[in-house]
Amino acid sequence: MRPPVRISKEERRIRARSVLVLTLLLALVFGAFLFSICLGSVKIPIGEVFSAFFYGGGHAGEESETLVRIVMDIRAPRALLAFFSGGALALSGYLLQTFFRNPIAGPYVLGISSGAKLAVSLALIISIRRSGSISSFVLILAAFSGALFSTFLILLFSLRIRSMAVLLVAGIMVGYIASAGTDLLFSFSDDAQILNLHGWSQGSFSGARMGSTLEAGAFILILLLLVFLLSKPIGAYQNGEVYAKSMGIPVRSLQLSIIVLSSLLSGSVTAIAGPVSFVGIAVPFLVRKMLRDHRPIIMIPALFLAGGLFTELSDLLSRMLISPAELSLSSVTSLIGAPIVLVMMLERRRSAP
Amino acid sequence: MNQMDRAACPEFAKAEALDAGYRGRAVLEGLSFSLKKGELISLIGPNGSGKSTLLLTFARQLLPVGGLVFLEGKELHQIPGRELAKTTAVLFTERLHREDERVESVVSAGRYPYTGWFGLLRETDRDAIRAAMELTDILELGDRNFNELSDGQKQRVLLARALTQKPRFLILDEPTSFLDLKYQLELMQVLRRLSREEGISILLSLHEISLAARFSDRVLMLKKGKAFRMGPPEEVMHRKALAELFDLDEALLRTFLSPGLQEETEAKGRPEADREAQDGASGHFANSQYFSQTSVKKPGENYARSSRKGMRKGFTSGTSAALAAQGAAHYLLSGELLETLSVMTPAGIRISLTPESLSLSKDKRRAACTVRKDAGDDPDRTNQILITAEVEILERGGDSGVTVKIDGGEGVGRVTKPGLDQPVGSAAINSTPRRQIQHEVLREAERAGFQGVLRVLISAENGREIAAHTMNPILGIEGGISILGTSGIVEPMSEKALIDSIEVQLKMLRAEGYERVILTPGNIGRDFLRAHLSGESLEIREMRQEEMEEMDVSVPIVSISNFIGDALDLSRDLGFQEVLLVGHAGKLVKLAGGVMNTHSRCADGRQEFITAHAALLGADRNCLMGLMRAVTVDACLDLLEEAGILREVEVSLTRAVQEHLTRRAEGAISVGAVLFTSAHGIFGITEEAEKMLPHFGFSGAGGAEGWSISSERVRETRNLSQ
Repeated sequence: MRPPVRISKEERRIRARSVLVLTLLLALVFGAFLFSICLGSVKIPIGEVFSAFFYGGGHAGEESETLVRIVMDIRAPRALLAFFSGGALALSGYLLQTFFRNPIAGPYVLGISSGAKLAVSLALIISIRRSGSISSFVLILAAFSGALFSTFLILLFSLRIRSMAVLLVAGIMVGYIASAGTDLLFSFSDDAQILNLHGWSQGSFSGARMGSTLEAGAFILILLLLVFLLSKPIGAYQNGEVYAKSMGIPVRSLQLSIIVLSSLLSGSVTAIAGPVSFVGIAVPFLVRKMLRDHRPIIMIPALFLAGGLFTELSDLLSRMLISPAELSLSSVTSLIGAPIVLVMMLERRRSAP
Repeated sequence: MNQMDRAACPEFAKAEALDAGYRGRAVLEGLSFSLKKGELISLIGPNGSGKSTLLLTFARQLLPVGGLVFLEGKELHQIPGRELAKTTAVLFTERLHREDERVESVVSAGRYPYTGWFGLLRETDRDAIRAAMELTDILELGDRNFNELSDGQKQRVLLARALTQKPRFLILDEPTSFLDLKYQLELMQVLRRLSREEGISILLSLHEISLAARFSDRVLMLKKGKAFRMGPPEEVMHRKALAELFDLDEALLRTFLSPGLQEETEAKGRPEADREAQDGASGHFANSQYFSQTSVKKPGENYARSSRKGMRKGFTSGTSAALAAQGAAHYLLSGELLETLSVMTPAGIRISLTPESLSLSKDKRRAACTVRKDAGDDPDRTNQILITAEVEILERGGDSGVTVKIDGGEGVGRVTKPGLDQPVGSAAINSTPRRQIQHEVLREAERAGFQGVLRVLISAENGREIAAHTMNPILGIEGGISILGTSGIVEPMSEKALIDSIEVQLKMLRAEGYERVILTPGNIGRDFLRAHLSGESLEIREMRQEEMEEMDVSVPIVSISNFIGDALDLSRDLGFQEVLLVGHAGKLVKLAGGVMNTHSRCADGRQEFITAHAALLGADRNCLMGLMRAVTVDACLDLLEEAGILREVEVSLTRAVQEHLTRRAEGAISVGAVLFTSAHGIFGITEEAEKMLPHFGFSGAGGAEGWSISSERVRETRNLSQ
């Protein structure tokens, strides 16, 4: 008898879960976006927000004009930027975890963000000395090369160090060295620059403009698309290197793509907002908990949405907690992310034989 | 590459002067060998001898340092990646952190080379996944979390994943490590079946030399980066070679391996043709103590189990004789009464049981042991027969070792015609049982330190009477039954055993003078007859003549499983006049297309036949598509009923069934069929069957209506009786 080709109840349930999680994330992202725009030192009613978006302010009036400016020039770009950056960081973390086959790998703990930070600081100081300004392209390029440099440093270590724990320590060391380098740079720069740099090196979306936000967003979305297109070989790669190779996958090229994409993602965020901690580890962990289908084809979009949501909310908190002053973004993400990572390590220890 | 091409190159894969290694440094040198289609080659050798390197090179994970590797006549490195992924599947131990994933999803990863850009599964992919999971017996694990499985289960899942690639070549690196003995044996059984039945060539490395000896077509022994020896295990895996291979003291190895492990000179003379016997012999490589109380699932059991619940395996008369010989020899030589006898059968299944009786002669030169044969659920005349082995000391002492002479006593037949396994004049004990008996007695002798000549006399209670009902008189075996069995195990419903048993039953019925017989594919048909005909003039009994006479039953029933064509041929050749097939339409509707072996492994086509007939009778496209998709015949009938053409299609199909039956009968015999389904009752009564029914004791016949009325009535009485 031909066995009836059916999808099991369990599989149906898992699929339904994926659909539910993705829908929920999308809704929450949208909700958080509106929230971020409404809340702040000036409360803006939700109706005003909509009219700002759809009619450019609707009815005239000076007060309303101001609100439109707050929405369109300050809050919306900031919320958008937080969303894109968060998604990029979560994705970057996921790629690193895939590459190192360890869920505790992430751009921040492996010192990759710090490497990018060092490169960006260097680029900032040099070009501001020379010309007094810096283009965002140079900034991203510097961040990317810094990220890539740290990644290859870690890769070099990983050739010699088998133990994942030791590798992580090496990553943290790389991070410290890069941070020390950044601090050293500070001492060679004048006060105004330090102020700028320091604020930036703590991570913040406060300077976001609509134009550059959209540019960065487009760049990150292209990277997301590229990663998504690789979801099938990434899934096979997660089954082991020998296995991936036996499936006809050019493993070396895939590894290179993973590293480059991950560095571009985390580097671009670092260039825009400075190093943001723990999003890359905590979000993939949470998403794994939420989803029961862990294939990249589901994980990648879910991660991006969840990373965006996580960072949007963190940014909101950083603005609101001690309003009108702001907390640094990394403080908030660390506050939430670090305990999550701790829980995760404890869980892993328990499940390990 | 198509079938013809492949047939043209008997070498499936080949290494030519291969140097294999890492980064240009060879760890394995000058290797040339080839692998045939469907061959299973095991690599054995100490750690670091280059087994994994060789496997990685064949899997194209490593570039050869020198020399060439060919696969299906093509140079390995010229095969495109995706093409290779459809040819070769690998199973290497990559102990890695895995995310929680459903087993079926893990298996589906193997469809990689067949799916599109995003790897979404189509219907054909799902079919392949199911088939692979069925083959490795993990269907029921489909929804489990892979990370929570046992190592043995994981390994089977990964094997299923490899099989979904539809490979022609399987490469496995120590697949049995981390597995306990049961899973090791099960895995090896699956692999051997894949090579034998699916023609998949298999190259694997093994640590367990007993597994390599038992399951390989050939072994390749690697030592220090060189091929040490290669050949069939029984030729190359002797003690001396193994000791040398592993740099082991031979005496130390002896303590580990059983006495059955042959010395070089003895092993070489074995004829190549006697493959079954070699299977038997290689079973002895396995140290009997080492294989404690293990039951091994045989290939094919999966199906048997899913279709018929609770079929029990039994053991052959040969195994019974070996068990009895063990008991007698042990009692005679060491003076102890064994409470449990236990032998390893050539099939790799250990059989243990308690002897019926044990005795010792006064002069302590003879001991006898009797066991009861249990044929399991396989229909067999010799089931429950008592088999006795008497072991006698003919000569004690001498330094020529132990000689065992085997002969047949009362109830065991003697060969009178040439052409059988044994020469004319000797007892009808085939070579595999002889080897089994000899092995057991030799082992007892070695344990007791006995030297001399022993005679084993095998006898069977009532053997003469029972043999009269078997094939033996025709084969020229006189005076008793034969002691048979090549595997040592009786497989319930195994194809050959079944056809043989059908033949024996039909032959007996003919001998008793019956000219009519009802054939039914199995339990469903039997149950149907029982339910629908009890209380009528026909009472169903299974072959018990006295009872049938008592009940005034005129027609016997024989179960024929799926072998409808074979059973019809046998009935015709044996000279039956009328044969009535009664069976579930799910099986018998296949006859409408001339499918005479209704096992779904041979052919299906039920939906297709029903759809074709429905189409001819004007069903619309929707209905036809529904029919093709339907899973059961009953579902098809529901659809036809909706379309209002149920009756017409049934009649048309029934007519087709009759045509094919008549053709098969070749005019020498009249054959009809009654088809029914569980939900719809009578599906059809063919023309011939209609004519025959009165002869079979159905009073009024009355066609389908009459039957269904009686079935209603029976259902009522059944309900009352419950």
